[in-house]
Amino acid sequence: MSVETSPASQVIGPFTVTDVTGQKSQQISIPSDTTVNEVCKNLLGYLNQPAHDSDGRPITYGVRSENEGRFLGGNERIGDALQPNDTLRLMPTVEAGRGSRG
Amino acid sequence: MAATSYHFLASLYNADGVALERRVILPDWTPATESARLAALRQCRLESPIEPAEITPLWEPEKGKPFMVGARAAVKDGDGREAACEVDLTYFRAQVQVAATDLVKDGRLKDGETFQYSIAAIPNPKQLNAPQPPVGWQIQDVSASTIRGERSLQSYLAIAAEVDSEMSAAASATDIPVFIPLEVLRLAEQLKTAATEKETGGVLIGNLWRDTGSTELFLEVTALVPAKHTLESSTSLQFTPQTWTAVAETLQRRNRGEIWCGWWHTHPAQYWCKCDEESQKKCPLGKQFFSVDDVSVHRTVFTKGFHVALVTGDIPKAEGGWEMSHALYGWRSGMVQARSFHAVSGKYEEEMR
Ligand SMILES: [Zn+2]
Repeated sequence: MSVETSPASQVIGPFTVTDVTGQKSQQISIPSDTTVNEVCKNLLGYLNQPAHDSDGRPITYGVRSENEGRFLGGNERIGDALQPNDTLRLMPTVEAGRGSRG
Repeated sequence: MAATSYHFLASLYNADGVALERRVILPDWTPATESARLAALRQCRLESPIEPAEITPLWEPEKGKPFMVGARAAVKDGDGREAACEVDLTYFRAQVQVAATDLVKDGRLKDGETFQYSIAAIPNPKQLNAPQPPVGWQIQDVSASTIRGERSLQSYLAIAAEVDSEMSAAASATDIPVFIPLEVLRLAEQLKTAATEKETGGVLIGNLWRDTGSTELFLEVTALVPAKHTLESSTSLQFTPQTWTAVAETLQRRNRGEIWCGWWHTHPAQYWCKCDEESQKKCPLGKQFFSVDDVSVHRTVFTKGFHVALVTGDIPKAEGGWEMSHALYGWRSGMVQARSFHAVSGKYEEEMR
């Protein structure tokens, strides 16, 4: 019986990944089979973005490709979805509120 | 990002000083680090000091190690010159609160019961907070400068009036000056009125300048971009990825080199208050405040030391009824705190030419 190993994936890039404001940016080159979710998870710390809010609830981020002009699905592979030199913006859903006050 | 060679432990005690819990906490060092970074920038140092910032404990003078009175976040530039932000124990409140909530769940603390806490630091050579990129990844910081250029702070002060936040006049003296045009405040009032009982909000855009006469920085808000694609209720306002996209597109269309300066939202307290006419004047909801959720928005999106948050709220009038009031909040010592600002009534001289 033979087992086919998947070929080592190529490193592609560069891509720029920024926070919402565009004031914090990281340039990355990554294996082409990296998913959008993996980019998001690994870059949050580098962009000073929290993964959880103060109550420990996970914060969800939309990842938008500037060249494609669309939000990417979390399971899309970077090598399939994007061309090098694209910029990805990480955009959270956040809620301001009165909280427990009153 | 921050590196430290310590573990941090939170100990919780009941009001009688009986120990209830001791656990490792992972403090969020970004606000302290960004405050240190802004301090470096104000001293005319490099905009991107060498990563990561270093966190060291400040020891309690009487009890000594391992007990802390606070911590220090320091950033260094290439020449080894340092700028720092010192935080006190309130900085660790969020992590302590999570522990307290668990104690309430376990029945070891009653809901609403007062408790005390201490924070200790234990040496740990493993540098807990310095993340490593995954194998095969290259990551490089390419953040651009946020400083637009040089302008005269004096000529801004000449066309502006200071709006003091009662609670912070003294502390605000150490903050960078922030200028907000009256027309932005008027637009905020109009949008709040139009939204009636619902919260509404937006993003403040403008420029970060360095004073020509000193090394000081100051923030000039130029416009309020009303938020689109939000989900709002009377007591909450959700900003979505589509909200931020629309703001980014507005900045691109304006093409004036402006940056994100902060955000704005409303507290329609006159609709929250259920008091009768007399007790309305003392209603705790009729005060300016920045809620825990508001801090969470600020921490998630507006992480730079110069980012501010404007709140337009309802305040009860002495003669009855309500009036609108504006309060500004910003980062100070790694925490979001009330601060003053300058309301600009004129046009900056270069624009008049
Ligand atoms: Zn609020």
